[in-house]
Amino acid sequence: MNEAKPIKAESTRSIVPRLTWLDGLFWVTAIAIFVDLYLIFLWVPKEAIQGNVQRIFYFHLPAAWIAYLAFFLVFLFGIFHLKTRNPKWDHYAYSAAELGVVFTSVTIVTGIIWAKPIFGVWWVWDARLTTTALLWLVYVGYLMVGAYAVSGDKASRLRSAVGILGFAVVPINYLSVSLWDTVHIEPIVIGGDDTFLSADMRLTLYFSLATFTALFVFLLVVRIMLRESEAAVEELDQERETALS
Amino acid sequence: MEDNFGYLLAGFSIGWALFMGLAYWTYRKVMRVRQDIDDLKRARNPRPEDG
Repeated sequence: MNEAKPIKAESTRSIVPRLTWLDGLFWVTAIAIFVDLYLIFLWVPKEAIQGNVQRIFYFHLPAAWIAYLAFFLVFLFGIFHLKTRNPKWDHYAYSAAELGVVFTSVTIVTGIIWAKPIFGVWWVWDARLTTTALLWLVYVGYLMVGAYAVSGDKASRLRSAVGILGFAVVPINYLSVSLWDTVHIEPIVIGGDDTFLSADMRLTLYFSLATFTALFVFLLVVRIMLRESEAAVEELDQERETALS
Repeated sequence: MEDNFGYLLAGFSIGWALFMGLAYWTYRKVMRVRQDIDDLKRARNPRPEDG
């Protein structure tokens, strides 16, 4: 058996990684979040009928928007992955799916907290809520499906297929309030009527949407970098095992 | 809710600050790990510019 060469990493660069555009995005997002909290809790007027509990809307809707965006990216990256077989797209899709599940969970939890004082119940199995639960389950399934495949390549292809097919639930979920009777309100931003929101409320909502989007982009890029690092470490381990044998 | 409004805002602010702190720490850690991996790859397969 050949003796493996000792591996020593010698960095010729500075130890602390240099600042990148992501640092800039982080600080912009961090400041925007506190401005957003100020707008939501102190600046925007109290809603006349629902009272203060309506302020949860400025978290609920942006979280739902990010979940849709994340699942659209899973769909898109899934197609790229199946077309090119480049593992990079699978890393992107998996990272987006994880964040999509987190933001769907935030949407469900904020919805539940909002529903109790307004509708008198925490949860009802109506069209919107049921399809949201289904959406959450589909993408939890997406994250789990890879674990049951024999090889890493097969796992990533299975995942991509689930991500592409699973996206069908997103438009059904969005349109569910128009197609069926539901306790949930009709769409108010995209393809809906947002005139019942005052100018202050609209500004707060759009600021919150922008802040959540910036946070999502930051978290997505970091998660992708982490996933790529995991893959690189695995590759290095395999190389090392090959060298030792 | 009216009575606890200040506490709610304070709670959210502290929660967000902690979350963002953790996010930034993770980000810098990931950058460092990426650099370590890059260094390790260069040590195994030196590039012409490494001398």
